[in-house]
Amino acid sequence: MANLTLPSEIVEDILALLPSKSILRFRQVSKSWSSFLVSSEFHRFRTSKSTPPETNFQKILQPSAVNDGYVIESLGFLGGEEDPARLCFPTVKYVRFLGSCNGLVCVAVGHSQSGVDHIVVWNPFTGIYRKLQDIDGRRICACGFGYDSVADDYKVFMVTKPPKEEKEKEKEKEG
Amino acid sequence: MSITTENNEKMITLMSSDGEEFVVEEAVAAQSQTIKHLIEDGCSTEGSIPLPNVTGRVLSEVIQYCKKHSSSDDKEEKELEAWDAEFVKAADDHVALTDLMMAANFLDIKGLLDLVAQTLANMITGKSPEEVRRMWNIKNDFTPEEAEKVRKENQWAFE
Repeated sequence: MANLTLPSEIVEDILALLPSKSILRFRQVSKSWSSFLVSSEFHRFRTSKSTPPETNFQKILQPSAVNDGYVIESLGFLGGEEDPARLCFPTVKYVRFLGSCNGLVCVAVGHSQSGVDHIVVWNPFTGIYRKLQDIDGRRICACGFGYDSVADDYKVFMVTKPPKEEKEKEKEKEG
Repeated sequence: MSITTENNEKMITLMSSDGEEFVVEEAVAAQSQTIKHLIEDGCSTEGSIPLPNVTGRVLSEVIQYCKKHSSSDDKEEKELEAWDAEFVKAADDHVALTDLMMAANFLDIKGLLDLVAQTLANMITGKSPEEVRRMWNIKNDFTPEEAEKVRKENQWAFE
């Protein structure tokens, strides 16, 4: 049986049932597995197969100050025995969770206590994160993070105040 | 199997890729959506239904599963689960399970497909990428640099 192969029509059904940690490890199997396992098609398929656990990102994410910076860990996000996923912000003094959606986490970070400098969208599952547009120390009054099915993209909405006394409010939108 | 089923059920003949014939009740065969549609289209009236993608060995296992599941509607779920567990255990290794899953996919038997997929997933969950490659002869087509990049991206998954 040396020439047994795993036909493409069933590989998806098997891989979608694996725990997150195995999926990440199997990105090493081959190029096609790697690109398939991080594709949004695969994640949609996988999500459709399982009931997503109730998400309370305040509970599963634990920021902690270390060496003058911050580390965010996803606690028990991947099941009891698994190690937490980590995202490190070496120079950050301020972290605020803005929301989560489809397993992605949106975090605001600042280099001082007074305001926010960057918005980061993080996928603790793949470890991939993306820094959105800088917001230069402005203060967040209200915000939301969600999925736009028309554009097939995630959006952050914010109402922010300037860092100082200017009263003018302003809306920012990022894709 | 209840007596009424035995008496009233129409029998149909399935033919495997290697020419083996299996006579089964229509209700058993119709667990396969593929066969069900063939029956609806009138393909079962002219002799046997050929299944060119499934060998006799695999087909007899599939029929075993379908028989159990067509006669077990009112039975306890637990008993059926235990039976399923024994059934996939008997399939023994990933080679037989892959064959079985291909047949379940072709014949469109959702319960069997899910059962075998879960068994294979459980089998590989703790394995290394190299072990998985060996199981299904997957070629490692990463350059050492690319492999290192993927490893780094997901470091916490490999300790």
